[in-house]
Amino acid sequence: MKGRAILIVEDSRQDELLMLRVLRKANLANQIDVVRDGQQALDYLFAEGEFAGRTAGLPAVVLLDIGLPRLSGLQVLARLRADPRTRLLPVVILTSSDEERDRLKSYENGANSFVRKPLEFSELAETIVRLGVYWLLVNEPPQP
Amino acid sequence: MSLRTASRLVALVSGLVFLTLCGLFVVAHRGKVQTQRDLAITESLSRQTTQLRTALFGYLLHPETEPRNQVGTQFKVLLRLLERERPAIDASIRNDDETRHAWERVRRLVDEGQALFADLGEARTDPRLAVRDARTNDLLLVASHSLILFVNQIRYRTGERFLRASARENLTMGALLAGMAGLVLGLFLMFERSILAPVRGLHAVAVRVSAGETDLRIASARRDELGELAGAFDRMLDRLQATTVSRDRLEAEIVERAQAQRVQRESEEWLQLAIEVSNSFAFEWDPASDQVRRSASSALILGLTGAAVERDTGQGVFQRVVPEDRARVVATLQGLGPGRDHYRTQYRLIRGDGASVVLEEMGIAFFDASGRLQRLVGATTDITERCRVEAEIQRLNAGLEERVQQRTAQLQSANQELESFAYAVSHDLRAPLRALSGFSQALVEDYGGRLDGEALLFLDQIQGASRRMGELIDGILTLSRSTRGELRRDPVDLSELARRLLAERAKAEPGRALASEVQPGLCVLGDPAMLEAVMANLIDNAWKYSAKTPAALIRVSMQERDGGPWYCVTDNGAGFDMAYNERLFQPFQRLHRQDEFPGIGIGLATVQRIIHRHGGIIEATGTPGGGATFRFTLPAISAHPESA
Repeated sequence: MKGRAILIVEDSRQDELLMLRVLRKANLANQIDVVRDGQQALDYLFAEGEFAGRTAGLPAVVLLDIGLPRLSGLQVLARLRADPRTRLLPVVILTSSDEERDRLKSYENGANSFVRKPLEFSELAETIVRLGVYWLLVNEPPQP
Repeated sequence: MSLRTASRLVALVSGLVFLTLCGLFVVAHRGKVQTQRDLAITESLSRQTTQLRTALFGYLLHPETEPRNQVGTQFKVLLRLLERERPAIDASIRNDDETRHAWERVRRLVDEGQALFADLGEARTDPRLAVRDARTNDLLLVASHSLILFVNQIRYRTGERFLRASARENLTMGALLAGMAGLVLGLFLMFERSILAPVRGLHAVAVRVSAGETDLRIASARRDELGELAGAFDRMLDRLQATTVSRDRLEAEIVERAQAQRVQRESEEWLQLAIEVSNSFAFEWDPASDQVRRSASSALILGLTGAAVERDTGQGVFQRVVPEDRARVVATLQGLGPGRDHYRTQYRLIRGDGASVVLEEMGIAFFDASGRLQRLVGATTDITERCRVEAEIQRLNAGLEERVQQRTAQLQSANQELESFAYAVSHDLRAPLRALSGFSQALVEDYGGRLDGEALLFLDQIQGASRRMGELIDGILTLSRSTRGELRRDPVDLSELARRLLAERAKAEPGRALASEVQPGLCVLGDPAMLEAVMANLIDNAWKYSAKTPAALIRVSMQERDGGPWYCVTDNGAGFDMAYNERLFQPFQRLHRQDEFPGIGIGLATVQRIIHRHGGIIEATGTPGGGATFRFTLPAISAHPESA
């Protein structure tokens, strides 16, 4: 069974709400799952732990924050790339950080994209919508 | 020719000359005496003939017996005289024909006269005979006259001879005197040449030699006694000089030896002192006898007294070495051999008083031809104090190292904390801000129709505040990153940079009437990115604060001050009060209200950090309403690299 289109890994409830609001306005809300930390993200993707038995398959793209509780976004990314099942899964790092080393680390670990969360909410909204449109409609994902 | 031969020859010649001259004189004198006698004879003869004639005249005038007798006597006297002086007369007439002839005539005239007189005789008394007598008388008178004439002739001749003999005698006398004088002169010259001159030379040399010129020599080429004397004198001088030289040498040697002894003594004292001062003693060990000899300075170090100080045995020393160190000493000594004859070892030793000292021993080993150890010589130093100090230093060093490590770790952790703080700021402070602005915007968008104007204004304030906070966070990050990373030292053309930045701003804000002057050729060494940030901030400031000035001017230039270049960015804008100068470069400190000139107060702090990191300094001058100037230096080569 085909999974949801987008997995958002975001520990900030506020960012989540705002993103969901934007996506809802763009009519993309019903295709989104949100998890709160790195471990949860892995569990979700590998159908383990609290997501054991989830059969929905992999999302079209993962929007991954870096500063996450338990496992950081970069660690999650490394684990995903190390696993053959998720080796090719499109992952977009979406973060407030504009640290050069974060950007470098992300690409080194095989991120497909690095997007800085704009400070202005309106810009963030626009970015999120563009990302959703791009990854769900424009991008051709690898065949599993 | 020897002087002796010469003198004999001279004497002989002189004698001969003298004798010859004397002989000549004697002959001349005798000739003269002879002629003198002849003269006397002729004088006498003349007198007698004159008397005869006188007597004859008397008789002729008075022909009487008495005068006749007188005449007869006179004749007899005359004859006797002639007879008596005959040898002398004969001798005198030998070489004189005229005189002989005269003498013969005198004799004949005397004889004739006598005969004529005899004829007169008694006839005088006979008048008949008077006629004849008259003739005889005449003849007699003629004869007597002739006699006188010839006698006078003889007398004259004899006188002549006498004068000649006299002259000859005088001549001989003169010759004698002249010869004597010549001889004396010759002798003097010869004496002068052959004796006096060399003697004077000898004297001069002797005087100079006596004055010390013992290397002087006469070196006479003469072959006489004076030459020999000079040779003997030279030889004497040789001997004298040899003696003097050897004596001088001896004296010099004595002086040298004394000096050498003094030097040696001083050197020994010096060595002794050096050894003592260096807390050492010298030693010598003879393995065959196991005898150890030590310098006196060992007493203090080893705590020994009496004979044990300088005399010891190798075994005795070894027994006092701390047992733990004995193996090392043995190993050191066993490691010695020909070619590996220097050694250095350390050991602890129990002193005579029971205390322990650390000794360092440095020595050299001597081996015989068969490679057997013959002698060990060296110096031992008490390094107890040194070891203690070294241990202390080591301890301190270790502590220091530890402290440095601690500090480094602290610094590293502080840096790390700072980094994580900046990281956290960039990450975590933004999310709430975004929520603030996001939800207030969502409120406006979703419920704007139900809110009144004041509520919308409040929401607008929330959004403005969150935007400003975002800017502050960005400022903090900019500041913290402004000096992160390696500092590059590349050539940077500040003039070019300023022109570009000014052009960019003019393009972004074409409405501003602003003039700019950029001094060309301001080339420096520095980090291009950081210097761009510096110039961008300064030009931005100038741009911003001159916004309300009618004829705004921004000038970028260079001034020489304190022997170095200062780069200046000047504007004629709002300026600032120098009283607040100190706060200019502090982050988030602003001298203008936000509604006058917006900003977060991070630009100059960033500029200052960059300039400091380049080892330069920055200062600002300004007056309120009169513009501001920012000057900074950029040492060409990093004099204070990374320290700021």
